Amino acid sequence: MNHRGSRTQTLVGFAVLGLLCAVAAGVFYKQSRYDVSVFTVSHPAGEVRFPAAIPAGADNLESYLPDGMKPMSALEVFGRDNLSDKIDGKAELYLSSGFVSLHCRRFVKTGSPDSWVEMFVYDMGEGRNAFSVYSAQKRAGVEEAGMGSHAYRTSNALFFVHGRHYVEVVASKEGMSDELLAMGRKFVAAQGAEKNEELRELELFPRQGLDEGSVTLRSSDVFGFDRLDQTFIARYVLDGFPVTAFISRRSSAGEAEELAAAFERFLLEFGGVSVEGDLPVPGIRMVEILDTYTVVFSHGRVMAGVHECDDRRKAEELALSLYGRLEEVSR
Amino acid sequence: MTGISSENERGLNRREFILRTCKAGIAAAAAGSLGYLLHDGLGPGPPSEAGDAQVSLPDFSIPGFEGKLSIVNGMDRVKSVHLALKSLGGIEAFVKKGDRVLIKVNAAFATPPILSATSNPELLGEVVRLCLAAGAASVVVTDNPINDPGSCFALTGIGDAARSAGAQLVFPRDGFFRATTVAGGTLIRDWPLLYTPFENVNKVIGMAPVKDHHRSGASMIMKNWYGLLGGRRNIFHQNIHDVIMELAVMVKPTLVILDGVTTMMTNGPTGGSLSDLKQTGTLIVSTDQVAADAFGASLLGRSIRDLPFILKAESMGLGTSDFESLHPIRTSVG
Repeated sequence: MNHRGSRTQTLVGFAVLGLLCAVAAGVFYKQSRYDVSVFTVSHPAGEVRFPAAIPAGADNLESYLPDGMKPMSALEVFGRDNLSDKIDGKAELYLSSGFVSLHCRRFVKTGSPDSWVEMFVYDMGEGRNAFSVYSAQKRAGVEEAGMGSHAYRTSNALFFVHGRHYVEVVASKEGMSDELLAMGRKFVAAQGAEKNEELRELELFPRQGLDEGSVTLRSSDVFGFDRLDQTFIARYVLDGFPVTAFISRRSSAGEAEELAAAFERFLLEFGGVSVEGDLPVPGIRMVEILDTYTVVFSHGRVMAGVHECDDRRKAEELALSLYGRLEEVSR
Repeated sequence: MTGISSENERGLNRREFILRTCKAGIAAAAAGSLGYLLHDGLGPGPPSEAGDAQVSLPDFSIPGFEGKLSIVNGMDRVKSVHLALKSLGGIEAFVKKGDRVLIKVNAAFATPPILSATSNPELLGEVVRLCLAAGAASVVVTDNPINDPGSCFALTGIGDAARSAGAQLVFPRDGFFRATTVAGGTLIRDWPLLYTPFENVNKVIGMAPVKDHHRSGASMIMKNWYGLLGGRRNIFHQNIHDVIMELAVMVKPTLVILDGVTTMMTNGPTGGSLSDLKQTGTLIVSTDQVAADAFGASLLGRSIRDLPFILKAESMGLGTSDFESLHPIRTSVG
């Protein structure tokens, strides 16, 4: 009996076998070119980029939205251990100034996907820390925002201090000032009970020649001297000549005097030369270094001086004015 | 009546049944054996940040093309990059038919392009098109942003620019990192490197904007390689100049494009305000990444002594800080 299949059956059989071989070859080929990105759900770059859990009750920033805007992304919260995941090398500025946490989130204008803002709320622990990071980044030639003494805006952003918070609201384009200001004002209103810390050092700078918007607070490593921290620095223009003054309030008069002496030794160690002067300021020290003059003295709990002025007479003039102001305030 | 039906009607004898059963068994066993042979028992493994074996990047520079530098003044990035490349012999001098090109951009932050904190999308798109027009078989665009990569590539405009120009956008993923150690390095040792995108690539272009940087003083071409590292790379910020030097040892690119058309003068590397920016109108294309950064320093108003990583890289023989010694070709666009 002949049970061989028909020619059609044979052809169909070979076609099926051929198809199976092709499938096997395909599987083999693809296996050798496995793309983990297609088949694996993973965190990018081996990092959990954002905290696994947003703290319960965390401010999601949504309540500061003006009409016509809606959330564009989820709330992100960063702490001291991962702040650099958000702002990279600038994290050091915040970390050295008492940074506690950052809440940030993007919001978009309804019907205009290219018009979005990102709000950054930095909790700096204390008002003076918030002022420190605010002042360190303050842009020149900006417009006051009308939200208190430490607030300004640029063509695409709003920056301000409120209580222990430093806040940035940055837009993706120009022309969104109304939205930025509305968000800022809502934030201030919501945090109403919290006031900006009174920074008494600001009153210690003599007003004549002072560039009012130039005062900054450096938290650490001031002028490269690792013992000098919490120092206010102000720019002056005296007869068209730029001069820099500084003030640092210490815990005691003894510490202020000891720090002034240590700062002088630091300058001498790096090639400075002591300069004799005749200013009527007790314990005043002047050092010439790299063709500039630095003056330092103490007055009560305050260590103060003039830093790297190209002109000796201007350095002495401002030092004397600074001492006079400290005398006046202390009376 | 069909053939199959008629055969079924005839039935099978015992001999034929056994024969067919054996054939089917052999076929099943053969298929199973083949499957067993082809099966990768280990599979791709769990996502691993650094992998097991150490890798290092090959030298992507072109012999004989060392020390080329072109500086173009103008605000039009597209015209500037055309002119710069033309002055160096055209893109064809660097990208040949069939080349597989990787462009390392700066996509570090999920910020809008107007802030100039990231590579300019228009410039990127044009460079991708130039590479493909020169015959490149593929162009890969990648970076390992510190922010969420999806947001970074989308909001900076880099993702759209790369894709629309014909490049493949590669996001960093766990399995893409392999351990690397920089020869003679003290910092980058057994450290995860974004390696997979470099496999099968034979040309590398570094593309970065000129920016102020709070820690290093400047972020330009050499600092931009930082984005190839994985892990808790922020620990290197304590030795920022040394790690930038090691990064320059790690990557020897074919070409670098430093975008100084708009420079972030202050508050880098994130910026945030348009008032941080200055229109410096300069595009630098070079085969010497040290020279490119040295020139970039001048756009920031800094000397190379303000940026120790430049001199450190020079001391390693990676290029020259004396960019004038390369006799740069200076041109301008209208």
